[in-house]
Amino acid sequence: MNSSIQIQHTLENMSDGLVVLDSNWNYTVVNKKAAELFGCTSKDLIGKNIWEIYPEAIGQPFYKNYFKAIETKQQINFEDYYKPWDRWFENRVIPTNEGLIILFQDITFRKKHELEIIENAKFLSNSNQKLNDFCNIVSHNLRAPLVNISLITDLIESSQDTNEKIELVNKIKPVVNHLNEVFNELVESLQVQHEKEIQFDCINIKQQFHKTLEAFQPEIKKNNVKIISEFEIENISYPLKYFNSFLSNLISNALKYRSLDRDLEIKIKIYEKEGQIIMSVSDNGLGIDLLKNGSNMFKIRKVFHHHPDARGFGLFMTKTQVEAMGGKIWVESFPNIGSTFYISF
Amino acid sequence: MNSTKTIFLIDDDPIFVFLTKKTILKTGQEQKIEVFSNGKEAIDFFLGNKKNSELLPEIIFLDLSMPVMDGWQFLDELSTFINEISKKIDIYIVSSSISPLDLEKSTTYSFVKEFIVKPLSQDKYTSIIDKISF
Repeated sequence: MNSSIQIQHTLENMSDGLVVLDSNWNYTVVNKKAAELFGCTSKDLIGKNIWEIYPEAIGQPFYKNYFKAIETKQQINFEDYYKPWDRWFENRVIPTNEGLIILFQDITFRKKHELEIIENAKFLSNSNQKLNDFCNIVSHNLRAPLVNISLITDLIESSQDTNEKIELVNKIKPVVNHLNEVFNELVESLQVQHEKEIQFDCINIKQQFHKTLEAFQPEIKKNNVKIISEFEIENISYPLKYFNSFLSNLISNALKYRSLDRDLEIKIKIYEKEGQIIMSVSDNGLGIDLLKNGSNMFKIRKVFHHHPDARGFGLFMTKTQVEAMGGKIWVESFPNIGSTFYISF
Repeated sequence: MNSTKTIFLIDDDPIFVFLTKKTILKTGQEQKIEVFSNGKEAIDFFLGNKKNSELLPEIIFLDLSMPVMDGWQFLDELSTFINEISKKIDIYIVSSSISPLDLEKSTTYSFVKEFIVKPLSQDKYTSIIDKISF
């Protein structure tokens, strides 16, 4: 065998796909593996222009990398998901004087497993976080009233004074009420997390928005609140009771934590971004220092401003509902400038 | 001989505050007790009275879970100016938390004396008072 046939033989039998392109983007070499991955024969490709055969590839990551390799005269290695074929490739793009040499492997199988593992890891860390939160709730929110009850009963037992005993007995009721409240909130949040069969409704956004706003009209009028709504989307398929509760919760928070220095302005937007439907509710209210409070923002019974109606349950419950539906909630906020809450559906 | 000590009780739960005051009263070693219903109120007091040693407490009983400014945030704020306070103050965390994470976190504050899981018993209180009495 002479050396050129030897090279030919090597190229044909290597496990990587190999393609050589000339400076006009025409195929000059397509080895057996490459043809197999493309689902055709090398004869179908040799001499033809890559972007004419695969026009759908224009603009894809590898298209950009090919040009970059030629421009920079540097080898580029990259992994790439090729959407038209639903496959992952590991690529090495080597620029030459006459064009490009491209070596590639189909790594779809490995990549899908990797993604699965990442998904699972996310799920586990999420579950773990929820468990931690739950332990915290039990520890802080349920134990506190229990301690009070046992303290009261101890004091009643040791007291000799009838008036004091009566005074102590009267303290039990509010503590028990508080305990009940926390307990019911917990049960409610656990129910949401396990409510698998929840029904989806076709929601007319504008219509629901106006319905929800109805309940706040007196407060809106009284405080001269300006409401701005921008809906890019007409309808959404989502559980109606959750959708309503998100809207009314975020609006009620904006009203509750408004600044007394300026008229409140609430802006509600629903729009699509990168294939996701997002709702944002912005206000020019008190805002919150996220550096200090960010980690507690959506936790149960955490409140950041003095307000008689602040219970620290609304955002916790909203987060629970959003996440039960596979969405996310996040916030941007600056003290005395305002807050924007985002929910992805 | 026991001189009267000032105690700061920083806790948002009025029932717990009431019961703790009662518990302290029953020990027969009643001291001067000032109540703050969250960390912010207490920090504001400290900032206004850094140099007024006679107004500052010997002991702080600090709750963790509070609105507006919680116990941890109080400790973080206090640590930024505790060096400017000439009085020796013993800080006890008094929390309903039984989480080991909270206990561990409390040890990262050098000026926190101890982590007491609620309730604060008469015995515990007495031993704390005895420790600083002279």
